[in-house]
Amino acid sequence: MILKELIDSLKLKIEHEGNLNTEISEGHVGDLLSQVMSDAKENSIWITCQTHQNIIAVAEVVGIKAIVIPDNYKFTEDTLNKVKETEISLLSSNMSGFNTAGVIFKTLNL
Amino acid sequence: MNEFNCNFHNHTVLSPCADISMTPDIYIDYLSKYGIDWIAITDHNSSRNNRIYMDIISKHGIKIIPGIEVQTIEEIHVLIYFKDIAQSEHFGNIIENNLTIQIYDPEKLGYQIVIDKNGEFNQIIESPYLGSSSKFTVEEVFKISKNYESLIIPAHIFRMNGLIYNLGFPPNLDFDAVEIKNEKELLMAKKLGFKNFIFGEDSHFPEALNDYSCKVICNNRSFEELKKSIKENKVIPKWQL
Repeated sequence: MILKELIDSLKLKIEHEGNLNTEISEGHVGDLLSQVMSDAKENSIWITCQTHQNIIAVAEVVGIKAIVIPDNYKFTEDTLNKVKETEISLLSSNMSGFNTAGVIFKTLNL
Repeated sequence: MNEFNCNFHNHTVLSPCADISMTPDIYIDYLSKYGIDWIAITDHNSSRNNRIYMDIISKHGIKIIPGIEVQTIEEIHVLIYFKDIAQSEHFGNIIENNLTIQIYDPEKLGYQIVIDKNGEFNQIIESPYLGSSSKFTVEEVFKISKNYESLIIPAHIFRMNGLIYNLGFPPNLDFDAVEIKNEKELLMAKKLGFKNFIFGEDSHFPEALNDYSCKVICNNRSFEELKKSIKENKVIPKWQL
């Protein structure tokens, strides 16, 4: 599914617009960065409460295309600056992490 | 009693996230210029550069404690200092053999460089990724460290990869001290029940070597004296001087 369609159907808020026309085929949930680095798949959307700027480097290494922060939490200034060097999109959800993952899973037909 | 200018948390070119200019020569330049005379080498999850940095730098009157910064499975960073180089290498091997990420891209995450006896780049370590977590919990790292003559000190506890940042409140472990960064953190740490402290720069770049982070008041720069100074709170942060 194209990222833009996913954002529209879930009413996610765009905190930073990267490449919205990229294809999303997988999802991942996790806050421990080394675990995300070893387990997450390419072309994923990643749900995390971790807001430190290192999430951008991890997403780049893995090939994650979008990061969703749940519960209306905020990305840090550093993270919002760092992401500008990439095509990654930063999104926020007013749902809990559990519900966000649930609807994304359903919408992607996984 | 003597007063020593110290920094007990420093990375070399071995740490993938450290600058590749963190060579023994740069250490000597900066430390000599700024009058820092007692440091610890604490690379991420490895002690491979400890021996060579100790050999080269100590010729310039700077004393080095061999150490390591272990990343636990909970992504907590813990500093461990050893009485001697052999113990630090033995422990470092155990950690290296138990890291969770083997394959990594140095172009993206940084090079891991071992230095030879002339202070030159000798070898690039391609596996494992020293920036990854070990398979050990913080409790397990604590337990293993107790098999050695060592001091175990959680690093930057209120920040990313810190004990309190990651776990919320202190586990029931009798750490020798905790590392904190400023007066506010010192008060917060005392509220949590911590009684002993060190103050490090966590230097990854040469510029971080250009000042000491604390003074230690003790007889000499030995492991025993450091241990005693930490216990007796004779490690004084720069901002209190």
